[in-house]
Amino acid sequence: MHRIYKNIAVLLLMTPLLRAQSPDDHQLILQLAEEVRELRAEVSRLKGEAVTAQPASPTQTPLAAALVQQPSVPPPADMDSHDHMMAVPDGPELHFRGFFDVDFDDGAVAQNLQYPLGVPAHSSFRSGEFDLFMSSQLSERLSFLAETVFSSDQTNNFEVDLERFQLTYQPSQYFQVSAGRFHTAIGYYNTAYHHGLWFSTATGRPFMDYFEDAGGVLPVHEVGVTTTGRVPGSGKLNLHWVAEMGNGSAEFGSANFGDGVQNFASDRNKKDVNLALYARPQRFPGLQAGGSWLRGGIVPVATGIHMSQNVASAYVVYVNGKWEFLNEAVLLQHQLPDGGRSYNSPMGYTQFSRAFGIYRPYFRFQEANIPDNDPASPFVGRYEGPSAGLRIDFFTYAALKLQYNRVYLRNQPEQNGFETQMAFTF
Amino acid sequence: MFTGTTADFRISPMTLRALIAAVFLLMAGGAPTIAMAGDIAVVVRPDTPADNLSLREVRDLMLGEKQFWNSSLRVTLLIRAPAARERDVVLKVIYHMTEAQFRQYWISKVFRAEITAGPKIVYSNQMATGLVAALPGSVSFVDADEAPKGLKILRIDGKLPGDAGYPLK
Repeated sequence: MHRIYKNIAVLLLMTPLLRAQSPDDHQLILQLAEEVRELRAEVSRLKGEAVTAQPASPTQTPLAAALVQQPSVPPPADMDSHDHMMAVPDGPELHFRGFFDVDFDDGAVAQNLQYPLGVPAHSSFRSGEFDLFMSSQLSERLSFLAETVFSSDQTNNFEVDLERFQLTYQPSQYFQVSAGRFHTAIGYYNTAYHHGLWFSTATGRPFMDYFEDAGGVLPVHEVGVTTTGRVPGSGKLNLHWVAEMGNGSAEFGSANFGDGVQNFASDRNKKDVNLALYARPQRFPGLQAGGSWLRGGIVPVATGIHMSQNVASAYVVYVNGKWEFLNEAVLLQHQLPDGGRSYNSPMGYTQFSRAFGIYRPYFRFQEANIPDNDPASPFVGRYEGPSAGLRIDFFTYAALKLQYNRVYLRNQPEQNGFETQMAFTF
Repeated sequence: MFTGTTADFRISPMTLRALIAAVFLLMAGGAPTIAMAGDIAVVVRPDTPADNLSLREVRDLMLGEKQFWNSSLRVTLLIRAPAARERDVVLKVIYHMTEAQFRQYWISKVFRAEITAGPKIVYSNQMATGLVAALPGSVSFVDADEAPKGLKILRIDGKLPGDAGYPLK
């Protein structure tokens, strides 16, 4: 513990130095200079397009006329300067953005990617998830995205996971369908935050949202079809619906289905079905409340018995530029066939933070209570405790996070962990 | 050699006050402020099925919460590049975000697959109005003095640019 406190003190002392050596203004100037260069290039390109087209009407500007002449052509380049872009003539543009985090962990529950770790915990510098996110607009209503993650685990070997890939068709605001591998709409956190830790306030996900190959207990990924849309006539309540069907997950570590997410082969014909409903009331910007219900199955390695799996969730969150208040509760149920015994696992978390300029202190309390004899859960027992931390957005696209975790486990001594994380997007 | 009385060079109190005021205006960027004080108009094509939106509805549009004007017409957002006054007003009045928060918001929105692309960036009011005229469903924000007659200016909460209480200024 003394070592942890020493690390906290040193890092807190370093924070003002980081701020002083890397002022936001300097970075803003560099960004603006870069954008001016992009603007000049874009204007030159647009001028070239306008010259080659015939004006459609004397009242239109040359640029508008050029576009009217080619109505099937999308707008002149995607002028979104927020990410990187590659394009071939007359082909779809590929936008890509990267996310990464580098960490220093001290303590048994310090790292945010896996539990239990499986090897003795030592203080360690660690690379997080090297995440390459790609998206492309194939037509006005058809788009594609993919997320490829390179990461290492307790074996120290890197592996590559295609964590998400979604081909999406959106004919209207009331209906959108995506096929591929996606994050299941269970609760809020799982679809609000994916693999880039730069987005999240804390250093990692709540324990209940851990990924399947990292000790997670919920089917947070699905391979299948997901549909969503706005509920017609919901007015100012701004209701949205979600309906999904997917392969479901296999118990992590099973011989044939080791990843946990069944992507190529499935251990059953019956698919997972998940339904969700949430509201974003127009009257209260930033507020979102909803719930979901998943009905599926799981086949424990040890028994080979097909069990049913139900996941019910409810949440209320309030997020804006200054405040963040997340509250989620989930009930996971595994049940033996033919009305046999069921194993109920309640879990949830609450997280609160407030921004003071570039500083955002935060607090999270979480709990998962899984029956010791649940044959289908990769983790059994109780996992609960607080986390407190500070996020410092000293650059627009990079954040330093300091977080302390204390975890209470059933029939085991409590554990402590201190994490330092530098998360960024590039 | 000056032979006149010093009174010939004396500055009247009124002139002195005017000079001091001018100096303060210049120091505070007063001259540019006068030139940039116009209201910001929300412009769309004439065939866009909207005439009057509440500020909350404009916010929904700009946040990507409302992505279609009707069942078939998609909204295309056109926003001025950084450092333009139109962008500053939109970020302050509509988004309630800083430049950094605005960028993070759209990266996050695309990453969550809630929208396929962020707003398109335009580099001048002429470019904005040219694209609005050409692209069905597009919407942009331009200085009201530069809004061409061929485009429709949306009312916000029943008010047009220049009206008392118009919010985008």
